[in-house]
Amino acid sequence: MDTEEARIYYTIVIETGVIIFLASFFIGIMIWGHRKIKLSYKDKIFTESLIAENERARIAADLHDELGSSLAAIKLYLECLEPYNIKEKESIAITGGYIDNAIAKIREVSNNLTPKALQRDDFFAAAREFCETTARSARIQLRFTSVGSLPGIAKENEIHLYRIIQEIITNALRHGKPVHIDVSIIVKNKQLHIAISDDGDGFDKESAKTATGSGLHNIVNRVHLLKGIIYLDTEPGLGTEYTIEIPI
Amino acid sequence: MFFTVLSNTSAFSMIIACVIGMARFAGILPAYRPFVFFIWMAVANDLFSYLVINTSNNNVINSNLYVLVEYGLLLMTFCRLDGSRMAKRYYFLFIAGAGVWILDNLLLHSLDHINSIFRVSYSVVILLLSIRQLSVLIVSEKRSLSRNAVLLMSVSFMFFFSFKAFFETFYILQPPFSRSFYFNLFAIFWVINLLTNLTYAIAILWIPRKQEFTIP
Repeated sequence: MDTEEARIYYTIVIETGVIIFLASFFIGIMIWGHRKIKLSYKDKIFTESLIAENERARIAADLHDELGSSLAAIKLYLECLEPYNIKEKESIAITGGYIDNAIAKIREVSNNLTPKALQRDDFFAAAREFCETTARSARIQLRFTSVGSLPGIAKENEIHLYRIIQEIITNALRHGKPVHIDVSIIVKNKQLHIAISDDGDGFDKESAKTATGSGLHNIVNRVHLLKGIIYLDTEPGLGTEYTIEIPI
Repeated sequence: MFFTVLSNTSAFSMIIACVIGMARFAGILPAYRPFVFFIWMAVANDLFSYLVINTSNNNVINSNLYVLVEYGLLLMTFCRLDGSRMAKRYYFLFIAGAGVWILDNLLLHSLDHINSIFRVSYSVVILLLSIRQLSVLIVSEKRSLSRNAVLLMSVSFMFFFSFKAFFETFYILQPPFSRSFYFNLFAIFWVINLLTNLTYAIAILWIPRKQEFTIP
């Protein structure tokens, strides 16, 4: 190469180096910005879920303390009535039955909002209780298996795990109308594996991503909050299977 | 001697990614398979070129044919990563690219001549698609970008094809530089090619075995 060519060549080499540096710097800044956005998004979900849980607890308390006790008082006064004939006696009995059902429903709703079992026992017992109650009320076959334990797990994380299972099963019953649901929770190799499958209607995953309902969003958000990964296997007519892996 | 070693190392460095792709292929998600096919085709072309150069001294024909196949496979890669939502757009890009290839290799020139118009065009298209893919990833990905195969693929494509477009321009304009100048210029390209092939190997290692469900 002559001097002129050498000058041009070294200019190209230097420009190549500068472009590589600038492009790498730009990409590095974008990734750093993405990390910041991810952290603020995580904080946002955490705050929203905290507010939602507090609101749930407040509503559950109001339902149980205010509405529940009012209905109990109504039933008490109803039982004090003296019926004149058999027809009135039957009406009082039927009304008492409706009030009992309403009280039971309020208790169930209140428990779903703030699971007492989670406050009393650990996550596995609470999840099992929820599954058994749901199987009875929805009249489906729900098989629950659990292996291992979660010692030292924070209470708010237990609530997130409980809500994930609650939301998945509620979604399945509401949209898929399954006959069987299998719930498996296994602690193995410092990972919590949750697998929930049903034989319901299934759904189109891509449409669900853009749907306005918040159920699936809540599930995914809570899994991400726990630094987990969620896999979803579903197609219309072929049931649904959720597989969730959460590091402990 | 150094340039010979560099040239051969650069050409055959893709074998690392090829072997990793073969070992992991059964577990690789369908969305990433066109990328693995692209790696295999590249290695096949390199091996064929090596044989042809050692016999007839001219690998231009297979090289001109290979770039069209490479373009198609890369478009398929981007299409699959997009979830095949805008497949029509990619079909259009391929047809347009094929038109430019026919113009460059059959009408304006011949197949046994180094033709760079198509190479520059498709390099620009791949570069733009890479930049787009990178921006989509940064904006919509809620998970960590560390160990993200798509990020690595997009960045590699971005660097490689931008320099490929730059270097191929020299063949179009044919400035009157010496053989030594072009040889040294190609040395830069070999280094970039070597680094790109190594990042392809890492990208294949990072390809997930199961598709995580996320909501944008």
